[in-house]
Amino acid sequence: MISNIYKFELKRISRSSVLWTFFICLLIVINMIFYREMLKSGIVEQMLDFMDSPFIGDMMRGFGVKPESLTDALGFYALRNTMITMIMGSLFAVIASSSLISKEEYEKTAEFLFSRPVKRISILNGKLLAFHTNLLFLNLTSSVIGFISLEIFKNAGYNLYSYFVLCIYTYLLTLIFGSIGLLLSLLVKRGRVFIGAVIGIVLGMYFIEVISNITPSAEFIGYLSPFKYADKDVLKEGYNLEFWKTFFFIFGTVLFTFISYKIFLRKDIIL
Amino acid sequence: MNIIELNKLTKFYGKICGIKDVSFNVTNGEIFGFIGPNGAGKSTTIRTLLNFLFPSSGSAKIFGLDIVKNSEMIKKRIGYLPAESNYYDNMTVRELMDYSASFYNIKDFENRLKYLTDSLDLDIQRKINDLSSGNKKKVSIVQSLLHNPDLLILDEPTSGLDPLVQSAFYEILQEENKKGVTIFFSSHILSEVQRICDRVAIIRQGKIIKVESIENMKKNLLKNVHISFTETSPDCIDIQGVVKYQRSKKEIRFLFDGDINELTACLSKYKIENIAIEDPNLDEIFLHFYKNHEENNDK
Repeated sequence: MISNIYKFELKRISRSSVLWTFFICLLIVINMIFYREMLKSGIVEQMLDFMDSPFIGDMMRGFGVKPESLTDALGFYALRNTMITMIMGSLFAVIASSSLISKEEYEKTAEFLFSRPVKRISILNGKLLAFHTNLLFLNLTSSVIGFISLEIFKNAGYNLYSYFVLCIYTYLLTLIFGSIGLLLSLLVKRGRVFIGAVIGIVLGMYFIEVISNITPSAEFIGYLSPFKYADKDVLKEGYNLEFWKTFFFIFGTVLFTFISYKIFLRKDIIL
Repeated sequence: MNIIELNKLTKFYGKICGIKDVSFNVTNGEIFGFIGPNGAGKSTTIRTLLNFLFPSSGSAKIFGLDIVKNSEMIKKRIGYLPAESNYYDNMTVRELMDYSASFYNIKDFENRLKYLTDSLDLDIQRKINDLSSGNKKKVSIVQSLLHNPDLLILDEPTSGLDPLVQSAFYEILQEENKKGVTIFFSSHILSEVQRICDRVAIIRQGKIIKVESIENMKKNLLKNVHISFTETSPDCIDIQGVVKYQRSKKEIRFLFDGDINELTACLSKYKIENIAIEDPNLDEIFLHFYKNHEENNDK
C-alpha cells in the first residue's frame, strides 16, 4: 500500500529536490572555474600572505582554510564546495523532512490522506522512502558533478578515495539533519510552517562549529554540532571514515527516526 | 445491527474538553443527524471516529470494529466528506480521483465516476486549485462516494453548495441510502437534518443533550400557537405549558407543550378571530433543548 504514497510523494518532493540539486551543482562548477582562475591570476599567493596575519589568519583557519587547501584541487573543493554541499544539502534535508507530515497538517490535506484505508506506519514509510530517494538523488548527483568538475579543473593528481569519503560524510550529515527535521516537525502539536526555524538550526549548527574552530577554549561546543563530525580535512594523512564519527551519524539518524515513528503512531492529527 | 457505537467517548486537548462521555448508536441503513452549533464537538467526534485523534477515554466501534485498533479496515468501507475541501496543489480532479481509488484497489470506477460527476456537473479535467469553493465541495462529494462505501460520514456537507446542487446531492444520498448505505450527517443547519434524517443527536459543549427520532421530537415538543382576537388580547393564558408568551393589542404568540384540550378549553372563554397551532421548526426545538439542558445544569 505504500507504493502509491511513495510515488505520489516522490513526485511532490522531486520538484524541489531537482531545483536544490541544480543550484548545488551549478555552484560546484562555478567554484571550480573560480579555482582555475585563482591559480592563473596569482590570487592564491596574496591569500597565503593573509594567512600569516594574526586575526584574519585565525578566522580563515576557523573556516577550515589551510595554505594547501588553496592550491590543491581536492583541498579547494573540500574548502569551498563541501560548505555548499553540506549546508545546502542539510537545508534541503531538514526542510523536506520537516514538511513530510506537517505540510499535510497545515495545508489540511491530512483530512484526505488520513481518511484513506492505510496504516499510519505505511504513510510514514512511503513518505520517508520518497524523501530518502530524493536525498540520495541530490547527494549522488552533486557527487558525480563534483567528480567531473574535479577531473576537468584539477591541476595535478588528487586522492579519489578521499573525495569518496568526503561525499559519504556529506551524505551522512544530510541524513542526520533529515531525521532532526522530521522529529522536530512531529514534536510541534499542530502542523505549522517553521521553515525559518529549521533553516536557523542548520546555520546555527554550522556557526557553532566555526566558532569552536576559531576559539580553542570553546572547542568543546563544536561537538554539539553535527558539522563537527563531518570531517572535511581531506588533505590530512590517513583521511578516512572514522568509526565513532560514522557511528554518531548512523546512530543519531536511526534514533531520531525511531522516536519520530513512536510519536507519529500516537500523534493527534489536529487540523 | 449497529453500524456506529460510541461508548462514553471522550477527547481532551490538553486540559480543554473536546467531547465528554459521548454515547449513541447508529443503526444499519439509518440516516442519522448530528447537530450542534460551531465548536460543539461535532468535528472532534468525527475525527476521533476516523482515528485522526486518539480518544482520551471511552471507546467506539464502527462495523463492530474498534476505531483505534482496526482503523484501516474500517476506512475501507467508509466515505468521508470533510467540512472543508483541501487538496494537493496542482492536481486535476481526475488525478485526485485516481490517487483516491488507488487506496481501495478499485480498478474499474469509470462508470461510477461518470455517474457522480454528471450528477453534480463537475469537470474532472480541471485543476482543483482553479475551482470555486462550491466545485471543490463537489470534488469532496465525489471522492467520498467513488468507492461505494457502506457508511458515509458527512461533516457540514452542503456548505458552499448552491440550492440546485444541494438538491442533486440529496438525491444521491437518498439513492445511496436505498441501496443500504448508512449515513452519518453532521450539520449545524437544522433544516437539512430535518429534511433527510431519521434520528438525530444534539451535541453542545462536547456533551450529547438528546438522541431522538425527528418525528418524536416534533410530536412531543412545543407547538407554535398564534391567536388573533376580535377584542383585546388576554394578559396571560393561565395554564401549564405556556412558554415565551408574547402579547400585542389583539394578538398573542406562545410556545406550548401542555395538554391541548386544556388549551382549547381555556381559549373558549375568548372571542377568537383566527388561530394557528403549528409544529415547531427544528431551530425552536434546538433552542428548547439547549434551554432545558442549561436549566438542568443550573439545578
